[in-house]
Amino acid sequence: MLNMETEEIIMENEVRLTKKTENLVTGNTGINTEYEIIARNLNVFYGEFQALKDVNMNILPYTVTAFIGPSGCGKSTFLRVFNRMNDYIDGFRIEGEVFVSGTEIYSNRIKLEELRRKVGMVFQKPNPFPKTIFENVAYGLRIQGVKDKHFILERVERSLKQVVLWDEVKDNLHKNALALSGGQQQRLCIARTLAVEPEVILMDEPTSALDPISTGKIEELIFELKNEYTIVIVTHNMQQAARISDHTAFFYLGELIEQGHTKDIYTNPKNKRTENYITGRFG
Amino acid sequence: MKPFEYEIENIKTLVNEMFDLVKDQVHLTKEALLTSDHDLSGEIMRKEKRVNAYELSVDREIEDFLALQAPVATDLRFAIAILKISASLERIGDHAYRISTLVFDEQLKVNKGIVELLQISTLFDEIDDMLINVSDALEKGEIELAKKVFKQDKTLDKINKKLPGLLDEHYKNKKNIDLHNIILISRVVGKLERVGDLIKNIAEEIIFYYESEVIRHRKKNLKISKKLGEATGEAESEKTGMEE
Repeated sequence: MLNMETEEIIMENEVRLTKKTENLVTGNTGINTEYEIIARNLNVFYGEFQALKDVNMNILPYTVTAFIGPSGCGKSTFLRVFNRMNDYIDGFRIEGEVFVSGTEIYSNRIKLEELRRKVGMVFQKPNPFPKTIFENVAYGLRIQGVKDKHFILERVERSLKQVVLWDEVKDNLHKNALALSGGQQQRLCIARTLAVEPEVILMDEPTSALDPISTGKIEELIFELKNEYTIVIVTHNMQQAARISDHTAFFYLGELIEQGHTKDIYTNPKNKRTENYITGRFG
Repeated sequence: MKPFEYEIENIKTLVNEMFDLVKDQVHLTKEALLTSDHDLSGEIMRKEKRVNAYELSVDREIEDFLALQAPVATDLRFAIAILKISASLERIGDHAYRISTLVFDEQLKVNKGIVELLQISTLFDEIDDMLINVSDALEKGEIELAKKVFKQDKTLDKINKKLPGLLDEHYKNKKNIDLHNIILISRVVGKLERVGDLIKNIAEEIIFYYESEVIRHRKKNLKISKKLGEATGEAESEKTGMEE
């Protein structure tokens, strides 16, 4: 046990370094501490099968939260709850409450298209439309009814710059998106999500189909994007979760076993099952 | 800058601050000792807690860095080297603290004659310079600065080695010798010599970090082998010109 004064000095050092990193990354230190996503007493069923059991979670804005756990543990189901992607699965049933930006998203009043604009999603395999690069990014704006060409042009350029793809594609905006490499396609899909200005970005194993270089670029991108968006990511790569997330949640057999700061989860997990999973002793 | 590079920058910031704190502690210790300043030695003792806290902060940051970033190659060597460097800095802080307690608790007094005889100012100044060399070497990656301290350490070793003879000569035929004070002064010189060794250890870690070369124990092992009449790899170890 350390004495109080020593603890205080260590804390001072930690707070100062955290602020320094924030300054380096964002140029400011202001953080809104209201929760972006709240799940309360959440139970999810597919027919008779219970996929999630009494899950409670609060997610802070402008953070990266990683869901880890073995296959079938419910992490992807939980991710898809936040933009109601599970609604289309036969036998899907949900109990409990889920709030995004303070709105209960399973209420009857919610408009799904509005929710999905606010909560964007990036999938495991890059899934650009068989259209031009430009049209892929402009797609969300067009279905929203935006007609202003100048506005669309500006938004497409900004989104492609945000994902650091602009310099690579600016001279080929009217080339078919399917001609891009896997890593470029995934960044294009993220740009497509950003173009409609979401608040939350859900990522379901966004790098599992990519090579290490492309994976590195996406990870860097996530690190930058968290200054403007709340990011929730499902990953099978535990080291990736460690590298890029601020908070980590470990799921097992539909239960949320442990959640907390990634540093704490990876250096001193409280639950034996979490420890066994992250050290590779099971799963 | 990649995400893990921010972590490295943070750790470097902490270590630089720890260097500054320890340099300051050594500097103040010289002043407290030479002027027998009771209050100043108390201040050094208080600041020792900060040095300890810095070591724990570095430990925590490195633990997180290893757990979260799984570093390899240069970054792994960086983590290992920094752990050892911060432990050495903490030990240097300990020595400054212990010298201060001799002034604070034992009312150690050193007169001008003894200071000159035992070259106590020279010892402190050399240590000051060695600390600047290793901290610059770490920050700028200038290995030559790190290598320089191996030679500087020899000065400290020589003074320490001469100590019994010098004291013997100085106090021969003298009456009313304050033996207690002499023993304490011998301890101070011994501690300063040990500080030199610790700075040398820091230099070895800096070379390990930047050049992936392990030079620890090389010369000492060679000496042992020679004494025992075993075959030695002399040519190789002579190349570096390092001490044990």
